Amino acid sequence: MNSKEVKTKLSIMTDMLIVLIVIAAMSVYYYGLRAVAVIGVTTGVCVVTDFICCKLRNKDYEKEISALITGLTLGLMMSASVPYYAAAIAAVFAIVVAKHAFGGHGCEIFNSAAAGFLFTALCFPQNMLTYPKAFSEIPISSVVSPDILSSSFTSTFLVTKSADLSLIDAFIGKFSGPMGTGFVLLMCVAAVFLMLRRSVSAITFFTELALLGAYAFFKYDKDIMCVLYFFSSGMLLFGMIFLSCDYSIIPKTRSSRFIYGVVFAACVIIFHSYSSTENAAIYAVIISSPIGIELDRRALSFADMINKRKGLLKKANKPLNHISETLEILETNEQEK
Amino acid sequence: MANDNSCKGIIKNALLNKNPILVSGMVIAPVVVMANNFWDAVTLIAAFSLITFFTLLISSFVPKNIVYTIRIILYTLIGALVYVPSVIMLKYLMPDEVETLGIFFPLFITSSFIISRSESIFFMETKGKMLLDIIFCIIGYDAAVLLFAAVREILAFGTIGGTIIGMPVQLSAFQNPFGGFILLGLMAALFRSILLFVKRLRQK
Repeated sequence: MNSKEVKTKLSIMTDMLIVLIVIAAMSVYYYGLRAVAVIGVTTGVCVVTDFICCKLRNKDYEKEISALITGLTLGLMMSASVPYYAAAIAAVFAIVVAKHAFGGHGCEIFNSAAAGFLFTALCFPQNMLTYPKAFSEIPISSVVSPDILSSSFTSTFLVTKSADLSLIDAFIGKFSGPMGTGFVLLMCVAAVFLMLRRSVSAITFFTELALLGAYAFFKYDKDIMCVLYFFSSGMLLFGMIFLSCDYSIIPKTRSSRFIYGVVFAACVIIFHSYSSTENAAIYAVIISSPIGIELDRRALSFADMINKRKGLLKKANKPLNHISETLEILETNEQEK
Repeated sequence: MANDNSCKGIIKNALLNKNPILVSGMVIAPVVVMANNFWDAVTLIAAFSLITFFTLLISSFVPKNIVYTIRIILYTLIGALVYVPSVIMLKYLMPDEVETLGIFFPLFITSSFIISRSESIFFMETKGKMLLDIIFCIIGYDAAVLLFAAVREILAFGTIGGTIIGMPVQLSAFQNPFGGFILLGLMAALFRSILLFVKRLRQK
């Protein structure tokens, strides 16, 4: 790998943050001040909780923006009408249980935002899975009247397998659902930007896109509109970009990334086919991320075996624990040559 | 600090340093599934304490010259024998509650206390110390289960022992086994960090 191509964690996080801020701005345009409040609560609670956890664990907090990303991601996955206490509980769970309980940033085995969302969705299903319409007037108070709420576009689409939605509306995310996960057009631009910046794995993303696209194409009798609805519903596209391709949980080797993409797509297909759950992508991320870590270990031991045979790993006379150690030794060997 | 082999050391280890649930993580499946509230926990610990204490007590008389595999089979056989009067007694005292235990009640016969800890710890000690160790291990287990169930009931239902305490938010996810595992994990981590903190304070 060229040294110019190696991106630092901070650089990846900054790219993610920029894209998430743009999507958050779009959510604010759609849902007004209520979106600002919900995103503010998740982000604020994530940052404060992360700071407290870092201090309690005697960890350095400089240049730490991962909590900001988790908070923004979590906020965008929420309904605009979610009570603030539910948003805050999701944020606390994401940081304390899904992040710091596993050793903090870089050691997570689940995507923190996905874990936080799932926990809250199980605690408050009525609040988390009912949504106001875009551009509707949502009061800023914590609890919103259920009169202005309805089930999501996803749940309607799952039941009827069709939707009364124009192509334009599907592209710009003008339907009831989570605040920031339905903007297909914006998601596509974000995906291209992040892949060009090498902040998101193109291998994983395109593997997932191809497999899920093929599944939707045949499931909905080759109806392209339904394929589009499929990707815009259930946080799928959002989950593919921001959750499954999260750099802290994604495998480090190319082959592992490809298999990880296959596993993620398979999980989504299974959930979509055999359950009525709205957010299959979230469950798929939670299941596939620990598998991704195991894939890395397997790929590592396989790479060790091959490289030892080739004589590239002269210095590695003990089993390596992390893929970065193998890459480091390979790089040193090449420099020596 | 008390010697580990002294009575004080044994009690301290059984209750705190090697607490069966919060430190050793033993017999946690029935706890995360069944201990949803305080009264369910009371039933659970009654069943566990009866079966474990009498099974271990009787099993300690099994001669050591019998082959290990046969000894383990004998322990579970003794457990099965102890189970019969235990279930009769508990069904008399708390008939409805015992029904809720379901399969977990007979499964206590094969708990790791009886299968593994008996051979590795309890039966290595003298009879008096063994008895002390078993009693305080059971007390340690029971106390941890009661604490866990009380916290879980407060968080998941907003009640304690069925009495409403006016919690503003109820986290229903803790009613599920997965929520129970998470809560137990968090409590174990907290318990260990408190133990570590106290140990550091004493060292200073």
